[in-house]
Amino acid sequence: MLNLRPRRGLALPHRELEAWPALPAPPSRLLLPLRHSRLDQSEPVVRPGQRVAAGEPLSLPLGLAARVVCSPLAGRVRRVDVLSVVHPPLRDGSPRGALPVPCVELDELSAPSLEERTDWQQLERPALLERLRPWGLTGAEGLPLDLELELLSGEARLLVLGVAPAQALQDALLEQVPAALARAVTALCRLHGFRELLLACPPVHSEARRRWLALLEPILPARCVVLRQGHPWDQPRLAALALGRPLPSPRRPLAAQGLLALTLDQLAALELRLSTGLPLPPLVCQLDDLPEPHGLPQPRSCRVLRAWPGTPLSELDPALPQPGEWLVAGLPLEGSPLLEGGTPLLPGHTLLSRLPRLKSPEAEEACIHCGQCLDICPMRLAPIRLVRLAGEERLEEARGLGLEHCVHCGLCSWICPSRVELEDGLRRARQRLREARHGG
Amino acid sequence: MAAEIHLLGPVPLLRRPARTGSLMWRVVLALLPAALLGVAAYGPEAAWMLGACLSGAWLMEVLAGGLRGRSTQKDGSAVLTGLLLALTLPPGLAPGWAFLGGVLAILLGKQVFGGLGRNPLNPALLGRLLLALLAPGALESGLRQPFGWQGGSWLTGAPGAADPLRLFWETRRVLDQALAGLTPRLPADWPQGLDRLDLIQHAQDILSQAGPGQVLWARLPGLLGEVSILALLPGLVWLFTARLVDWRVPAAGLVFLPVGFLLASSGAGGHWLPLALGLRGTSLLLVLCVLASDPVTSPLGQGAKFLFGLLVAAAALLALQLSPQAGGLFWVLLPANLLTPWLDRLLLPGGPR
Repeated sequence: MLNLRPRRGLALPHRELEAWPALPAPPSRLLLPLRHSRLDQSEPVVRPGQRVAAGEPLSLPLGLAARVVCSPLAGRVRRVDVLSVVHPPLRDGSPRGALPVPCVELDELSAPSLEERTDWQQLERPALLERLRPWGLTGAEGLPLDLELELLSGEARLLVLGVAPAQALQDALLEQVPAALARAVTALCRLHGFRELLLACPPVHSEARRRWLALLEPILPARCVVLRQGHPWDQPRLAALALGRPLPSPRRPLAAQGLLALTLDQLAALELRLSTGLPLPPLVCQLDDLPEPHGLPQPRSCRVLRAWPGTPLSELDPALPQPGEWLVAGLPLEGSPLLEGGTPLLPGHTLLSRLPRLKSPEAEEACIHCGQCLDICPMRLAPIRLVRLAGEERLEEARGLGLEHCVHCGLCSWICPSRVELEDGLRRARQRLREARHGG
Repeated sequence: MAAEIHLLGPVPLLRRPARTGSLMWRVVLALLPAALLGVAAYGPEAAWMLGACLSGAWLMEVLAGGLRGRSTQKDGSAVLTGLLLALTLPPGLAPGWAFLGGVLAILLGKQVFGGLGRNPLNPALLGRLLLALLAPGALESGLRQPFGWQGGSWLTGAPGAADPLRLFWETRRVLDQALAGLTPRLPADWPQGLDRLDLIQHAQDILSQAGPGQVLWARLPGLLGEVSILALLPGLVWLFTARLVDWRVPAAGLVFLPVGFLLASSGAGGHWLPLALGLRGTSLLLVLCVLASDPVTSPLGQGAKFLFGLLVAAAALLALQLSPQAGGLFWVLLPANLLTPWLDRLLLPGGPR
């Protein structure tokens, strides 16, 4: 039987057990998009009418940047269809574009048994490593990643990550799956509470190293440090790791906070708030019927909502979200603001943080041509140029310049000092391009 | 019928990226030492001129913001424009003209095009160009002896408040013609009746007052921002290391300068170039590192930025070589600004590489 308690960096003090509220029956239907966050779509591998077990893959990756989508509950495939995914409105309330995404609708749902749970976020370390290995990550000095992790003592706060298995593979990874890789690395950092990430790259891979740093630094809570293999300055740090000696910058253990963290993303968000001083999350949404004693005691630091996947937010608490607050779900890398009460809660929306909107919505300003969107784009596109071309209805020209290669990671919108909604502009442009082709 | 599901949104990330306003104010901060040193060197007159430029630009921005119904003065761009304008003006310029320059820079350089981000030309330089057209005499007579206000010039025999660039240009011409055995036409303020050897001696005496030390610490009259390159460097280093200003335009320009210098030195008037660089070196650095690196009016693509830097540096060298005008260095940037869209069309990277 799986032990679902988080293992490292979180030793919860024993608390008085409180009874969980009883859950109603599972939802009658569940709609699952076969596209996780902003990554590539995945291809459905189930047919209508087919019965699926909880955790059974519904789709397989269509590109390297896709992820397997598994069924969170046992049920029957009602339909497989391309549906229109509508995004939350812009800051000024105007609607945003939509993208067609293949979806699987399930019905006749029932609760999974514990053995059926295969959400990778709840996996034991060996199973997690098994999932991570296909991403091409290796340990330092060529060690397998699991061996590398075994070297780390409970006090270690460093992840040593070798990214030089083969130049061709590395190039492919950096070109095609930066978001997915960043996500995997983030998960590792979260899992072990690493405060520093050492990228072990041979000097010949300086370009790859630079791109890794550019990719990871803005999104990781851990500090990225380049480990120059063979460099004398870094050898003592590796030795300290291997010998389990205490390293600089000790972290305040999460256990001292007495918080509840059911899954990795909850742990991640908790750590984010501890490290940045943000207020602690007052809400935890447990989207299953995890029974005692495998579940955790009802915490005193936050309020726990329990529901089945697919339940609209408003059914859990009609007062959510309050005006003037931002409800955020998921990992910092993947987290999405849940702006409307009707938003269905899906696996990944397990932790809800109510963040106050400190400022009034920021108005979009004119582009000052700073070029930061070009620098940060993981696909090395020129987002502002594509948006402008689309604005001039030169869609085919924009397509020739890589419009369809956009992975909608949103980094261009994020970095833009003038708050230009570039990612939404690209989304609309792709939609118009698709319509134009369909019309033609 | 397609159902709709509301799912995605922008990703909350850890770092808060810089905003336009914070970028502008940080550039202002980086340039402040140069402006303060200018005020220290030229005294209250320079402070009035600086204040007039800043207030003219700021008031025009407030007024335009009021007319548009959108307050933009807090983004710092107007203050930056006023500051850049002041740094490129002579310190003794009458405050009225400086105020007008600030107003024109914002009004005709920025607001008529729709505000920040839409201006094709650098507003501060456009303001300077308009001032030079409206009041060339005021600009010429606004030059002052640095530190002279503290009780007279401590550099004996220094030229007065005339533009030393023009003075050296004339002297260089006299010297060249005298060395070639010709009889040069003398400037009006030169002693009459000198023979050829006296002319050469007199010219060499004047030219010896200029030198590379002028860039480090001004001894001759110059613009407000030209007192010392040392006051400019720390701010520029900070701007580049903090990635507040893209390094490509200045890097291309600075790499080109030695090559360009060698090429230009061999041409007509080439031996005049070191003198001009000694006087205008600080301004050249300001042009390359700040004015030409203004993201709004410089190209977007990396290759285009390099080419733009090369063009600006080449044009600046050419302007210094061909003209004794102090403002020539700044004017070459305006046509280069007009080339920006074309450079971007030519060189901006397109698809995934």
